[in-house]
Amino acid sequence: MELVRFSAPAHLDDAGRGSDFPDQWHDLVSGLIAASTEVSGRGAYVNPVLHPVRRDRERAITWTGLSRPLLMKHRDDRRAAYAAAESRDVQIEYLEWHVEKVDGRIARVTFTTETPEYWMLLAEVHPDAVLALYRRLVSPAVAEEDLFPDGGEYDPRNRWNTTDGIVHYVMPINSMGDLLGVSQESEPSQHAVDGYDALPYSRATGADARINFDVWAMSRQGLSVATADPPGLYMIGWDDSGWTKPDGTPVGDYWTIERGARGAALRVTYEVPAGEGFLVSDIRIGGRPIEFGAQIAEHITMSAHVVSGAAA
Amino acid sequence: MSGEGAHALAGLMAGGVPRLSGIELPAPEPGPVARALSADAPADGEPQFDPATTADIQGNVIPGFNKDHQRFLFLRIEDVEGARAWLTWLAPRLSSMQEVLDFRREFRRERLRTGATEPTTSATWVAFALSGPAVAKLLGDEALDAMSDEAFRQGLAARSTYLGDPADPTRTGHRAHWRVGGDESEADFLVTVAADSAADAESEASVILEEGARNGVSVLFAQAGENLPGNLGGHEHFGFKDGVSQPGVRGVTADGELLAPRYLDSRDPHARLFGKAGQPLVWPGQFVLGMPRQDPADPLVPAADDGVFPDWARLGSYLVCRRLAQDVPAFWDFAAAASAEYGTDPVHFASLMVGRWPSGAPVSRAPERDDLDLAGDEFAHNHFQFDDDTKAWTPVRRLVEGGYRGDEHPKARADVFGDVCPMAGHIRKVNPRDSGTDFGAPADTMLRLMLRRGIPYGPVLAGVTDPSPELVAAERGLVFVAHMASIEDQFEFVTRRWANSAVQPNAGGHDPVIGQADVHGDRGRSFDVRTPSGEAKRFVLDREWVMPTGGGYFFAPAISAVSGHLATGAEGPGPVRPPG
Repeated sequence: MELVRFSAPAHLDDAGRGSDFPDQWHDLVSGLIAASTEVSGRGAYVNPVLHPVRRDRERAITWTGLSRPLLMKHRDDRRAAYAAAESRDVQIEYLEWHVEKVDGRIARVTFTTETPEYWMLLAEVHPDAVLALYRRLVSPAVAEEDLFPDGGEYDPRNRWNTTDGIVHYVMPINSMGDLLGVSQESEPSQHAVDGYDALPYSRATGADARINFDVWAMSRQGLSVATADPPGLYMIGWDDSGWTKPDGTPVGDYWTIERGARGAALRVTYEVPAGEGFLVSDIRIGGRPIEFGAQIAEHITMSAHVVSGAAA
Repeated sequence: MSGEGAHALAGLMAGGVPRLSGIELPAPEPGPVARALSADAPADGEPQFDPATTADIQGNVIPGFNKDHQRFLFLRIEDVEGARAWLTWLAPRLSSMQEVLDFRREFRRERLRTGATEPTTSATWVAFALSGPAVAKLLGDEALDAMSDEAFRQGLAARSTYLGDPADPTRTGHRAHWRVGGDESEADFLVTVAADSAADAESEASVILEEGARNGVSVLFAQAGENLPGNLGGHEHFGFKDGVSQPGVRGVTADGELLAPRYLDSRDPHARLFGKAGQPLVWPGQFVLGMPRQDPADPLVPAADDGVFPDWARLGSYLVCRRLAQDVPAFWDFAAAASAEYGTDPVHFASLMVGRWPSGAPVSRAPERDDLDLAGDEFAHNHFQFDDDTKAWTPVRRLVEGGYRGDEHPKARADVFGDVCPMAGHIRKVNPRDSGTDFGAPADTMLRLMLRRGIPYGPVLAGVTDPSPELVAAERGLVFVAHMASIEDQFEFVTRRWANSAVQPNAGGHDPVIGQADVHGDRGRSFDVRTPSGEAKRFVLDREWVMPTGGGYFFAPAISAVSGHLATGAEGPGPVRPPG
């Protein structure tokens, strides 16, 4: 049982060789995790940097990318849920997206699971790398002033990460800190005997409930739980079965992973290749035309990963 | 078929399940809930079904026909005015919730007393449902637009590939090949006849069809459903007991009868969540429009509102029908080959795929071998959880005094990682019970449950020694029928998001029994089974054994809406039949 050294999400290497960014990232994430936290039961959530944790079992904790609170609020009108979900401010399930339109019709949707902590640290250590990445990922037109107003600190709510593009989370409770914080939350009564006993669960989100219930269940078994390395939030997969082209035949694979890897994607675009002759808005999901990015988000599955083992 | 698979299939359920008997439950009397009601107290918020309501809701919605012989008549409107006349004729023949409840109450007492699986009295029942196109024909396009369920408005054929059905028209299972409900073969009406003998079912079906023929209602397709014979009664064609786990509907009639009787002592921590142990209590609005529905967070209180629907649809229920062909030899050939690779026998491996043994005993409570005594204990065979050790439950006094000796069967142990019941096991996929899911807490799972009313069709192959090639090749399967308040949030959710997904509700593979996938033409699926050392071993599903061959999305209106709004086309609620 060795102590863990945290890697960047999806083992990204944005800083290049010789940088101390990886060390600083490791320290930052470790700082977001308490040394050891009582969770619910006999186990605990531990910081694997400080305490050796058995990695007997790995578990992918999965949830859906579209806001469950909005789906519940609009139980009888799904379109209303989709429409409401287009604002980044309510994209609460650790998945945010940006829709690009041509003549009012959707041409491309970009999804991200990248955290503000990562980008703010990178901006602090390697501002040039941040500028270069923005230019590559969003637009060649990105100016240094846009990201670092008045030559000062990085502005996470800059126009290229809000109105004109997307790079990382801006919704206030989407962050690495929130993921790790939720993971360490104890069940309110601290003595639920099982998942039913932990009801009612007051939060409406799918993500928080999922993380809580899974970690609590492992903890009740006396297992210690820790984030898997690298810590982070990922798109583990998506389901475009039953999506059709304008001629009614199945869509092709129009997903492009721009950062991360298949099964652990951080940034993904959905765009119809130019040669196909139609746009995303022309695609139908189960017979319904795509009007909102939320309709795609509904079919993206998110994940965070933990390891667990007998408590030390 | 291979030798091992054929051998396992032929040997299924050689012994019968010893059913509980000798239990004398007291005759129904106003329980504490009803007494509280009579004292004008809120009675724990139990939803009330007054006589007008129980006379109006169709009996196959609640409590369900559950008859051994059924006929499914898929009909088409040739003449709208004729169809209205036929509906006027049909409405008095429809079986109400009260009628079926009265029968079920007596049969339940009889069953517990004698262990009988067949009632001694008989009844023939009829249910009616209509599709989106029929709503448009009878009430107009605006009326169809007013139905809140968009999937219903679209219809099953339009949603077929969304459910994972083959997108390639050359494949078996594509809607172009369906017997009914495909692109050009959508039914307007679905009439279900249920009886205690095939002759009774046939006779009633004939009368209905003849009257239809006289009134411009033609038959598009008719399907007989028959319970399997002998020890396989209540099983589906792969040989497994089906329909063991149904939600309990919250509610009390004016007579004080709880729709889902409570068998857990009030001091049990889960007494307010379950009817029988392991049977979650669900608010009736999840199945019947206009009744209080499930709250997304708290199972003990109803949601703030009852939902959106047109007036005439009140007390109706959406109905999903899928005619699913089952390739029984393919299933057992796979189970035999996979079991050899895994190092066990075919029946054990197939039971891991299902999550229950052929008898219905849950793998979670019987990890090593089938347990017929557990299977026969209807108060115990659904009592298990996945994430934590399942605690003993305390029966109510009247059950103990009636002769129930208590649930002394081995208990389920915590199985967070699917070591005992695989994460992909069918029953764990479609009902993760106490676990979290991709949509959150277990309270969300209660929003997904359906009332299943399916029955097999075609000749039985399981349990048959040396079957003829003709029998092996004969078509057989399941007429899947389920009632719900939202097709998209219940049937489609469970099918697409869980059964068809390798990572939802839990990572571990596709549902190996009913899961489909069709991603850019690739229908590949796989699932993981843990070895005794805890290692996840992946099995590729190299063939398909459940294939859609028809069906439809329907709506089962209240009986008064059939005779009133639908038959007359008039606005406003139709007349309510008097109780009794």
